[in-house]
Amino acid sequence: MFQIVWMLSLLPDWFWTLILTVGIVGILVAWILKRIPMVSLYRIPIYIISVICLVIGVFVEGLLYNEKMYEEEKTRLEAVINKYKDQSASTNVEIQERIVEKTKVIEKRGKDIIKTIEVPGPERIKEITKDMSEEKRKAYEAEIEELKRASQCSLPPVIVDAHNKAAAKPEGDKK
Amino acid sequence: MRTLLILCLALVISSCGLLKPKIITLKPPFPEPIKELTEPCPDLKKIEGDKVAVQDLLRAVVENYTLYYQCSLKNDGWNDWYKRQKELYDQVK
Repeated sequence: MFQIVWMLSLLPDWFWTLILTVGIVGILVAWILKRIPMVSLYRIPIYIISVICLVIGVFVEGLLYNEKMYEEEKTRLEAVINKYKDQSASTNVEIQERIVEKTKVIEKRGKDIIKTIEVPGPERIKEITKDMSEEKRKAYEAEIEELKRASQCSLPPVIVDAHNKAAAKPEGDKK
Repeated sequence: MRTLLILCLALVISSCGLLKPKIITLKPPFPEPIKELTEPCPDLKKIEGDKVAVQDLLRAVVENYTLYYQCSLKNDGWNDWYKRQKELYDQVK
């Protein structure tokens, strides 16, 4: 059927409108000729040809109209899908940027917290305390001393094991 | 003659009936997932070594919290991605 449609669509649209018009006019002419005795002889062939033209005209006009509607719908859907693709891609970019940005913020936050429990070297302490007031400097140095003391005490292995057990992946959980 | 006309009209009507409407099979593609979201969450950090200080423990805990929040972010990202992509997909008509 598509091949027939394709072949018919090679002819210009006006041709089929002409065929349809010829069919209608021919039937009218045949009807008029019926009332004229001398020429009524030509009525039958004119009538037959007109009916065939009318049938073909109506058929092809309907076919082409159907095809046109299909193409219009296809074009409309393609436009909608292209718009969807663009929106989908831009949504992805937006979410991705947010994820990347927030991941960095979380990572920096963790590193900053870890810095607060690490004992800095003497040079670093000097650098940090150089602009501090006497009171603040003493408080900071006391904090560092506490951290130093804490770093010298080792934890019982049972605590470390408990932590490691909790951090381990549950059995049967495969990636 | 009238019979011929009726037959021809019947032919036209039946021919039109033979023309099944074409089904438009265009459908929107499934959206591509975001690369960062498809990466699996890493394993939590464990403490290694014989002499473990409080700082070492706390460092591991903080690192694990960081991993949790990063993984939680991915989970939220997936939910957000699904919700927004579904909204867009449902609009395609």
